[in-house]
Amino acid sequence: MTQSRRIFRSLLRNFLQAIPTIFIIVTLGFFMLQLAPGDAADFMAAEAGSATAETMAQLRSAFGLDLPLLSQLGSYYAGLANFSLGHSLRYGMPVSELIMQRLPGTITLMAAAIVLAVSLGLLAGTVMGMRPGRWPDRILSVLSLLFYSVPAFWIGLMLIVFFSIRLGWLPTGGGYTLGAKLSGLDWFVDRARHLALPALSLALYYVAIYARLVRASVIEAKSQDHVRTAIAKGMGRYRLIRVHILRSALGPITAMVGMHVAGILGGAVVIETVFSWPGMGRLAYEAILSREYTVLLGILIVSALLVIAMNAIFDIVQSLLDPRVAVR
Amino acid sequence: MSHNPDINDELARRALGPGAAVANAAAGNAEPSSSVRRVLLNPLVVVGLTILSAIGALALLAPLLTPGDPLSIAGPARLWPGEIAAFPLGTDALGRNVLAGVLHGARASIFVGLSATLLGVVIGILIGAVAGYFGGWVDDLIVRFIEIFQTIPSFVLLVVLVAFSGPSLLTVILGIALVSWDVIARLTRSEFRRLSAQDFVSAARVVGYDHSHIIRHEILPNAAPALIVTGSIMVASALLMEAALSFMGLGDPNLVSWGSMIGSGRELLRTHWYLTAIPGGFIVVSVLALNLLGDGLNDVLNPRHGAAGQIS
Repeated sequence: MTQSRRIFRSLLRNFLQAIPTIFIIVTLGFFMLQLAPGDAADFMAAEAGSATAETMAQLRSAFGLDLPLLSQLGSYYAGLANFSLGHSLRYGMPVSELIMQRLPGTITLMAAAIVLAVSLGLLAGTVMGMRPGRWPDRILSVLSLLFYSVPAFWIGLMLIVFFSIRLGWLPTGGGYTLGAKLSGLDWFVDRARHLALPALSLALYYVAIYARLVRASVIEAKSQDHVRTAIAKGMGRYRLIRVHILRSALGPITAMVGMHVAGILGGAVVIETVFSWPGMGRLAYEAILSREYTVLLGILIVSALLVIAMNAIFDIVQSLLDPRVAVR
Repeated sequence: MSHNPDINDELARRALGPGAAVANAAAGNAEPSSSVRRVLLNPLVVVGLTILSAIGALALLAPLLTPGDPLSIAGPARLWPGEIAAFPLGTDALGRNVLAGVLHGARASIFVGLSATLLGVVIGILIGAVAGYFGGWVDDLIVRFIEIFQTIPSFVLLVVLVAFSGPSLLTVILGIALVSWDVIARLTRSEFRRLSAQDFVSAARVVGYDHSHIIRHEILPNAAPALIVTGSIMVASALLMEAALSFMGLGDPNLVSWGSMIGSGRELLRTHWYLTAIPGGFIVVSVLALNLLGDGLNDVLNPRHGAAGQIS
């Protein structure tokens, strides 16, 4: 089977799997929505300070909140088919537009965290695995156990205390310096400075996991015949690590990252509220406060789609790294 | 001993006895008392259990050590730890005793962690057992359902569920259980598939025991070690989820928990960082202890899967 055909098959499979997932989320979410205390009309009335029963009824019929449940569900499905996630009353714009504004922020944060987690994990795991039992291995093992147990949002707050408040090196939050008109390298540096702490807080938990994984696969790789032969023939240390050892660790780590995408997204939601990062998580937080349940439901649907899309990408990356792995 | 008149009971006893367990327990050593002893001799388990019992004791004694409502104002606001002997961990922005909050918070966090895990484990075992034991289209359907569940970002789903149903102790517990059953269901399914193909299960079938008896008395005890290891890790992740939820303001508003303390302490992060650091420290220590316990149990009960087994 050719490469492109395999990629196509993988994409098709992921696409087909997405349909029941979205169907279940929407149906589940829609009925959960009915449990929510108060509706958008209640909230708008509360914001305005007062409202007569007539105004409330008017608001409800304007938003279709007075229709029978099943026909509301039906119109939600119909809207979805047209890529519409409903309308946000508070922001006065379509939910899909609102989410699309925030989606790049979340994707940037997740991508930075994944890159950081994989590279730090590979580095730490290789150091640990090359000389198991020595003191660098022991120290890093303890550290990885610690990072494995620390809530990401708390480490984020502690990083703010240390790097932003004590040392004043990095900003405490936000996505970029407000009001500064930057371009080129300055723009990039400004973004990177704002991204550093949130990405690190999100990554540390996964660094711990990948370091342990890489350590185990380095130890295993070292005992294999072709690696021992290479050592015996006097292959240089760095070349050995690069060519023989890391290559065999990359496959499992990519598979693992693919499995963790949903978890990383969940972590990003909390981290964004810590660092006021302009992404979907921050939007979810605002939506909870203002009881914009349609926005929350939209975020849930888009999150699931994002996870499915990223899984599809990792499936492909994995099959490119190791042709023996059949595209699922 | 086949000359025993009551052959059914004898066969059944053998299916349950040590010989049956040897067939599948890689540890080989199947006397229950000795496996309990091996668990208790593992240093990781000892350290984990010691820390957990200390925190558990503090949680149980909270009403005695710091009587009264931890949410009520107890003294001057914003005292640093140690500034006044009556408030060893200081007071928060409103003058509430941080020590009282931490001790009472332990009760809430541990209660949520344990009950959500228990509920998730029960749901997961029920679903996974049906899939793994019966196989066929039931299995296909359940596996597909679990796969769908795994693509849904569970924390986002949890936030939505709790926000929709209104934050309370019950909804937080139900929500966490609902987003964590799939892990145990997958594990139960694979253990049940493996075990139901084994001789001692066939023997029990031949004897004529019904499905429910075989599931409960033959397979489940043998799947227990793997389930216990995963369960202990699940408590850790339930604690973390509860903390993140109440940090975001989605915890029970009438209860103090470690996460909600971090959430309110965060307002004073710039000047009074200890309000954030102290409850977070308790979370870290508890989760660390649970992870140590899980690692230790994994080493003893699950030697086949190796150390990476619990992470994946």
